[in-house]
Amino acid sequence: MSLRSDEEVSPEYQDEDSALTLDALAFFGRITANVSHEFKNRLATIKEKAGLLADLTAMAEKGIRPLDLARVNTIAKDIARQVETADGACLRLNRFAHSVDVPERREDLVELVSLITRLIERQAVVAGVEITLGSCPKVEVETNPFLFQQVVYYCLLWALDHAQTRALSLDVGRSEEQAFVSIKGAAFDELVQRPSNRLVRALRKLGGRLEANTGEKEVTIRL
Amino acid sequence: MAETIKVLAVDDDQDFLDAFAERMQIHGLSVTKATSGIEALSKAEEQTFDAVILDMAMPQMDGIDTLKRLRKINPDLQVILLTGHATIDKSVEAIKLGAIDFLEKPAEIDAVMDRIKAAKFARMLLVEKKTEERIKKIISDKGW
Repeated sequence: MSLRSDEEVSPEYQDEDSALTLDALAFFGRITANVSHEFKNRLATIKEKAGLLADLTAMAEKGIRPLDLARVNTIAKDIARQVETADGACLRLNRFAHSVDVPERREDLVELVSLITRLIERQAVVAGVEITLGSCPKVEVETNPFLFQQVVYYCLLWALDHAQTRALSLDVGRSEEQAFVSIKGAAFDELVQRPSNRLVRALRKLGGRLEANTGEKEVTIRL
Repeated sequence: MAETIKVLAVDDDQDFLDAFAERMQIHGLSVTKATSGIEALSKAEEQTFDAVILDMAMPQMDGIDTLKRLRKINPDLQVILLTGHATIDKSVEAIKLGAIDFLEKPAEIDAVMDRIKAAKFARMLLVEKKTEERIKKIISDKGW
């Protein structure tokens, strides 16, 4: 059986729990694939920089060109910077992986939204869209962190495909005692009127709902 | 003296592209850099390259789209795709569109050099074949 995160589960898996499990696996798979892609890119750059050091050293040994120590230092710093970037991606992946540890816990939604937007950064770059999260104070709620990220991810994925500008902006807050996440920058009416089955399932399980604000080109996820 | 091989390297990751291009230059190639598909098309219109090394995942115009357009500019262009994760679907699509090979990141410089030399050789054969066909046509047209 093959299942991609951008596809619906096939009809034989339509019972809610099986479908939710497969949705979760597909989501998890997609995120880990994104991060592994980021690792590959960083490793490729590190390999080229290290190779460059080897080439420059070999040329110096053969008397072709003297070794420029300032250049060597710059390349070494570049390598360290690439390692830091990869390490950041590794930390985010680890935090994401631990979001399945417990079905419900007290979480800061701002942190979760920040995490998921960073995890799909490369997808956004390839789509030519910049995702920004406003400066929001902590919004702590009892929730299922994995499902919450899944819902935000589905909405962001939809927004990347339907973005009307090159920018999506996110906001997290509370209104009338309800926590919310809003995404602005795409016409979300269709997402709210005809959401995918996987989004409906995840929202139902999470106990959340979606609202589109047509004029503002905004969707709000309410918990 | 052997003619320098001219390569167009296309990748949106500037850090990677700079190091990759410099290494190819150290290994004797003449390298032109482009950080987007659009820039690659513009460079390919300005000059002829023996080979193009093209990243698959790029913003705005991805590797497959760029490949299609590059082949329109110059159908003889020898394009080698560079990718973090090659998928069978994408590989088949790229080969159908005329890519001659794939390289997976991170790639060994020796593997890169071998592919580029093969691309140069393939291009030379194509040019020779076309020249031969043109000469045959002239001979036939003139009735010689």
